[in-house]
Amino acid sequence: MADALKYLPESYYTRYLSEGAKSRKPSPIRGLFPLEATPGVLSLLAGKPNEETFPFTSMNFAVRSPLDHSVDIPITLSPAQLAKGLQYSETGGIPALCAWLNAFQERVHGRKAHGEGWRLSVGSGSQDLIYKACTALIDPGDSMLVETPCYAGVIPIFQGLHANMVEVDADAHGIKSSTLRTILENWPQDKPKPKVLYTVPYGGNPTGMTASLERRKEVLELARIHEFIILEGKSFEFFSAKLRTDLTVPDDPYYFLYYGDHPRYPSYFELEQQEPEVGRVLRFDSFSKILSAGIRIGFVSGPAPLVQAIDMHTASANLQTASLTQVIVAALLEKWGFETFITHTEYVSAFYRRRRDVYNAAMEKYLTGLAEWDSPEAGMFFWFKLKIKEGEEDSESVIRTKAFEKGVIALPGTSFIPLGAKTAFVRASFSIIKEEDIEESVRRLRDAILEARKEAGVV
Amino acid sequence: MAIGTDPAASTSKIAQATLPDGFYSKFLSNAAQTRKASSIRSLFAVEALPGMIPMLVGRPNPATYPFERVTLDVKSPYASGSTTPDSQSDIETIDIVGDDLSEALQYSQSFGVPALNKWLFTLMQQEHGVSQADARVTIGAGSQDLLYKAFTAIVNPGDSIMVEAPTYPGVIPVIDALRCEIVQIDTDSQGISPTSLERTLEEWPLGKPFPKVLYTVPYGANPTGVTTSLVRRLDNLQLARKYNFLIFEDDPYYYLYFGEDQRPASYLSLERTVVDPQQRGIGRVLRFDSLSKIFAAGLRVGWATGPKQILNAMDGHTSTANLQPPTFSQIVALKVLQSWGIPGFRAHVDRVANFYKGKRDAFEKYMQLHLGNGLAEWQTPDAAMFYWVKLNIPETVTCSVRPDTTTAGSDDEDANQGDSKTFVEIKAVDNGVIVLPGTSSFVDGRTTAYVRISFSLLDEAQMDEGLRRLSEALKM
Ligand SMILES: Cc1ncc(COP(=O)(O)O)c(C=O)c1O
Ligand SMILES: Cc1ncc(COP(=O)(O)O)c(C=O)c1O
Repeated sequence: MADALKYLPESYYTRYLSEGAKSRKPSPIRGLFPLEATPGVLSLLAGKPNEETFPFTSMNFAVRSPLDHSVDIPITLSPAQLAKGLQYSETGGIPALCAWLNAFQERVHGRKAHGEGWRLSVGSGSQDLIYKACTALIDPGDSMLVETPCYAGVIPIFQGLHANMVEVDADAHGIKSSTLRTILENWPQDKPKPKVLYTVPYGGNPTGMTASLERRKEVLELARIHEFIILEGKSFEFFSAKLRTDLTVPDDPYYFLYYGDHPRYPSYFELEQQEPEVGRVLRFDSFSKILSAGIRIGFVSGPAPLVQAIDMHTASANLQTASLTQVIVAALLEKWGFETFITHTEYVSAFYRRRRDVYNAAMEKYLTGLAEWDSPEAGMFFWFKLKIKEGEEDSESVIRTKAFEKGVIALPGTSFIPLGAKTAFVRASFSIIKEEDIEESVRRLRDAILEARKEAGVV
Repeated sequence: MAIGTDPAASTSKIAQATLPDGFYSKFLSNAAQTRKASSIRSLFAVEALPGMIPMLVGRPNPATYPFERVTLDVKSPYASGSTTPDSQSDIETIDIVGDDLSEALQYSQSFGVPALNKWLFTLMQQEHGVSQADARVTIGAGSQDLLYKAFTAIVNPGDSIMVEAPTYPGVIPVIDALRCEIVQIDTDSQGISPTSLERTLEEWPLGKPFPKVLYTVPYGANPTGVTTSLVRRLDNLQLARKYNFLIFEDDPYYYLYFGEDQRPASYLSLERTVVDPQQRGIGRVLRFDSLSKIFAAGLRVGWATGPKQILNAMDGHTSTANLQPPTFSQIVALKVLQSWGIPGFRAHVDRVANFYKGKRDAFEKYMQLHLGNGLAEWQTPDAAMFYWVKLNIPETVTCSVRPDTTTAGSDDEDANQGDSKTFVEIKAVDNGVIVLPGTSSFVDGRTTAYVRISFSLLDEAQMDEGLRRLSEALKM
């Protein structure tokens, strides 16, 4: 397997690309860059500003050592790094960062950056890349499979593209591959099959659930048979999502925020190597949950023609990701190296695990019998069902009125249902709440639920 | 004005009302009008209430971020010497620590970091006379990001928009993807040709909806280097009022004006100061500024100023497409701007403009030397970093045939005088020099003898050698 990984040819992806992606014109200036690179050629081409006019003369920063938190590691950008950070740069990410990330994807997912038909591109957060990937894949009316409940931030993207969203249930073990199978096997003959599946396989937002190995394998098998692309998103382990019913799009920003008891499952991106051929997974990673959200750096890894379509969109819509934050991250990662970076992510996931434990203890103390939940194994969310009365399927009024009056606010679950159905579920985030406030917040929730039960005549 | 005796009544502020919200509904695209609000962001306000325990948003805990401190050294805008600081005392050290650092590392608002947004609004108030009643500011990841969102907010497939010809090449793929009808408006040495614009509008087919927008780069235009004259600006503004179209004023080179004459006012400010006897209201100009050419392109910070309804639609786009511009870059910019204040900012941009004037003067000298003797024609720019040059292309370069869509006011004169694209690809590159063929600046991709030459990065030796090679290629 290792030496002859079969991957899908470029032409395979033509049918997945949207009309917009296929007709997008290249940026006229960026198209001449290869000619400009001819050795010896003097360029009067690009309209870059002169760096001498920029006011910054040096920049340095300090980071905590992941090995010993009492030690700060100072990092000074070299003049060349600073100049790179201040100037326009490559559409798909600066070379130093891309090189580090390529080596990283190989270590983490066992995928080689060369000769496997995939490549990587940096974006302004994974949101930017998911938006562009969906725009590259979906024409109005196209069907797509959406893990449900689903990260609320992507639903308006799918709506804006006029996608025909097909919900696929998820439970404590992640996306229900059996439901997926049923949907696909009963798909009407005369209707084009879904192109994409969007899923958050680690510490799903909002459910906090991590898809099990069996589920992942079944999803991949279905992706091959029914030819869809998986959009895989990670946020916490790094997370990703799956799209297109031939492409899986795992959105995985929580990949590195996995803190479950059993060893971590391989990503779709890694697992697809066990399939007869690779090329159906488009994976989204993000540094937002582990280094900083304000730097706006995410990256996408997957079939080269799809990543190319994303880059073309970038070249016209916003030119590139911020050079400065890329240079800072590249300098940091080069300084740390792979092992130290992993040590850092372990610290971050342990941080959230501890909060999960505190929160779970409060939930058990105050909400036993009043709510149902599975304790999350990754990420920063509890997803729980309010038990108001039998058959009550709406958490929104309790949260928006009662809980709000009692001084606590969480997110009603309906925000996470792609087609907007009511639900008795609620998402509570435990990331930034002060640890000492956790008990009080859950106690207030209890009061709100009790009051609602009383009004409903349940004692 | 009839009541000219009352001094208060004659000021433009009183005479002109801001256009009502409803005015914009016929301008906003279907995509903008049907975009759903982000369900999480709509609850942000509630979360900020005192005593409320927030469990709403999934913001990561900043304690998990590894950064402890960021330190920048910044040149004083008042330092002697052109741009290189002479001594350590010309350097100011700025630390980003504590709450500032936590903010820089965290998610922020779709419209930008509030304190930076406010700083920029104050600048816009002073520079262009906007007020809170008639405009606000939104920050984007570079002005390109905002241009993309502004066009998306306005243009439906099939709508007509007007674009300068030639225009900024980077905007062409953006508007192209929106499948609209693009009407090219000719330009000359003073900017947009008023006859071309007026003729286009006067001869507009009956029953066909008028163009919604005019897109223009008014200072040191990319690619022509031309700064639109005041007279032309006034003409265009009158036409915008008469035919009711919006003006997208894309002005990243505003601060790079170094001409001898007084600088012409922006469309944004003219709309507020030039009284309209017919009282057709303020709110047709959307202005784009950028830190890219004066601060650092790699930060990706630009801002738009104009009618709230359009900016709201753009922010809605941001909240689904990329959430926000980078917080880190915004805090870096904010710390420097706060330390300088508006006077320091002005001193800095004056210095930058002066730097480009020095480059322009040197470049002009070599242009005269190498291309002066009939090999090319040009107009010397008094802003920004581009020369738009008509090459006298040798007849040995055969013209490749490309479709030449006929549009209002376009003329085929250039086509007969040579094809700079073929010339660049086969002659110039072989001769060791590359310039931007003019065709990429035309929406219709027409054949043209013009090229855009950028002088921003070159030292004198490179200017000399680059232009010498170009002149040799022209003689071949
Ligand atoms: C599942 C998921 N995907 C994507 C994102 C966007 O993250 P970013 O754009 O900051 O990388 C988030 C952020 O909350 C998320 O939870
Ligand atoms: C006319 C014009 N508009 C917009 C831009 C984009 O600039 P920014 O870096 O602010 O996105 C440029 C950059 O070259 C430009 O020349």
